[in-house]
Amino acid sequence: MPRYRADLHVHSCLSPCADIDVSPRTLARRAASLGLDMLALTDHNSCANGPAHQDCCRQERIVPVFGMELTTLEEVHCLCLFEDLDGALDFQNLVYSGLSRFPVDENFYYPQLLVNSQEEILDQVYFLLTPASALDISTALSEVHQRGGIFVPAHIDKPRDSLFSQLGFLPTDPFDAVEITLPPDESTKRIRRGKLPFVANSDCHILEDLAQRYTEFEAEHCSFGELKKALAIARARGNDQLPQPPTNWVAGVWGFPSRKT
Amino acid sequence: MNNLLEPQAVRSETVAQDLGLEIIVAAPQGTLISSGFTSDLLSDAMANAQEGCAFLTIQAHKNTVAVATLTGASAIFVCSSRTVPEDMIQSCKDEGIGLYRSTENQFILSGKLYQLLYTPNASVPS
Repeated sequence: MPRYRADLHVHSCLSPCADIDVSPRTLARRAASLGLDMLALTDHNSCANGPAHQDCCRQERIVPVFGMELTTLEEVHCLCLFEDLDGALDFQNLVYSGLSRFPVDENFYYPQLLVNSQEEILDQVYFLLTPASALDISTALSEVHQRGGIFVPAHIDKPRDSLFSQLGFLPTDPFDAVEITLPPDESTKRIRRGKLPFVANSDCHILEDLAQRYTEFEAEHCSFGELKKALAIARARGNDQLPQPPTNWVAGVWGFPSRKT
Repeated sequence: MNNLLEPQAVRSETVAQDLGLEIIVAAPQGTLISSGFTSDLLSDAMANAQEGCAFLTIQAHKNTVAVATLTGASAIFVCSSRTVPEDMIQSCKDEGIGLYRSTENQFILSGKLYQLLYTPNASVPS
């Protein structure tokens, strides 16, 4: 079965902490040149650069995934991923409705830019997108699943903004996977992720970050549905025994974080 | 103030009344509150909250109940009138943990609880 490479955690110039040069256009071009098959755009609490992301990915013939890196009520960062833009924007409305409206202080943050596929600035979001939303992690998961999406607690092995830094334990909610940033064996030393499958992504904030970690999955073809299926299979297998990575691998086997050499 | 290191355990009903708390789920009859722990970081509470404490927080969701259960907390005091979801109420009922709410923020409510537990003869300022 063919294998596909996905980077499912990527910020654009809409995130107040991301480099201003990281537009959907530059991301899609670089993703294609690096051999990614699928690219998710996951700005903080927002999917508003989704339309440009859709156009740019189509131009580069890679599969777009729409979503956001949600800050839950507990201040846990979670990837909320959707197949289509409408589902993502519907979820965004829910998130926006409970978001505190702090102004963006440009002494501390980059402006949050809405752009089109030609990198033209359309508008800015004037309230800070990073604070906690009103959705607790269980509610957020349920809302994402109701919209056919994938819900993945982000960078769970990091000491901040993560499931373990905020809660201190792994809740029993039916997460589709967890995201790790360290190689699997190092990550496992630090945190207990139960039997959940894991994904690895770049958490790109500057263009050079893109695809420095990515997820590889086996599927009939490259689509959101097939990614979901691959995760469900890995989850059902429930095997937390880590396979040994090949010694000179560039791309990992399914579920391994991979670094470009 | 007297006896700073040895708080008096106080019945949960008395604490709720003296601190003007809204009772959402009453703690089982006879439940004592012997200390307080204030934090909005659940991993901190899990590591440091003491058995029998009241856990003061703005984290109003069911994972707070999980932490209260793990630490043996007697009750959760939700501060700043935060909205309490139905699944949190149900978890508290299931686990036998009192759930109370205050209009005060964490600092003020902690101060009032401290005064009640550590200086039992003092009246709690309203």
